[in-house]
Amino acid sequence: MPEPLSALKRGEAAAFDAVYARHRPGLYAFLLRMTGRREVAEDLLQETWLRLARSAPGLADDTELGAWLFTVARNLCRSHRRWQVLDLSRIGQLLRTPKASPPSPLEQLAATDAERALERALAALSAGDRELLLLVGAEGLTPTQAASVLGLRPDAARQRLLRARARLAEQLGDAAPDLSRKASGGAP
Amino acid sequence: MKPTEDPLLDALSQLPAHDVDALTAEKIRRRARAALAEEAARPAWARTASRWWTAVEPALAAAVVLLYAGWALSTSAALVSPGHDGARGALPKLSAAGALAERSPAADPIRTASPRAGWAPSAGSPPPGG
Repeated sequence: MPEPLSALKRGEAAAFDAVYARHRPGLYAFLLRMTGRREVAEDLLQETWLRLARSAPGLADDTELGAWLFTVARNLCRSHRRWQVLDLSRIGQLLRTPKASPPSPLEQLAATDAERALERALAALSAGDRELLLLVGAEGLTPTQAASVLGLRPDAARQRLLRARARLAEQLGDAAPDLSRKASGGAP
Repeated sequence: MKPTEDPLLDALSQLPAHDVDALTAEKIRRRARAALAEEAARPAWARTASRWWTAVEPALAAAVVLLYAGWALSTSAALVSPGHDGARGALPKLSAAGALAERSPAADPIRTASPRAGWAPSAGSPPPGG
């Protein structure tokens, strides 16, 4: 068993701090890109860490903490999306939203046009495509790790990744022609 | 993050990193550490019981729901089935013949008895109804 995990299972604060410092930025970026709203991403981030704290003593010895945390974060996102459907105030807000929506917080933070186009293309994808691309592309998980996060078989995850990647390249289209041209030739 | 041979995945890996502000990060860390300390302080049997209950509770709830639904369905089916006397006995008879049969003195044990049955005259008290 890796040392931080055994220390975490014993409830050692230092071990928790190390895991927190290592995985927090990636988890937050994932949650922010999945939800598109800062306050929601922060709430879900907190809930993810609380779940780790409550479950730590009972974790299996071979648990991969990164994959475990992304699994919890991804399930919280799905749960949030389901509840969002029932949120009447949000439906009202969507009805009032003008057609030309302002740039998202992620687009505002993007430094270059290519990054902005990529953020916009990602946001336009379905949640299923987006989560897989983010896990493998942005967070550096292997397709096998991403498959365990998403509850898929590894070969199914690879197939889905190919399709998601193609849809992202299609979304990029004219917005980032260089990237789109390169992407249509590359393979994961 | 490892560079890949895929320019699109590489571009994704180079997207700007995002993090919560320091105050929020510290708030979340403190809450989670408090929860961790609380969890670690719980006796092992309590944690085991809690885990056991978490696993068993949904199955138990589903079993109770199924039992209740089964009982409700079978009771409803018994009530509406044509051969069930209890259902017909509980419903009022709407036909005129049925209503007459209900009202005939022979069918009414109270009316077939003496009008004053059960009433014992006492001095000074009038019989019921006059």
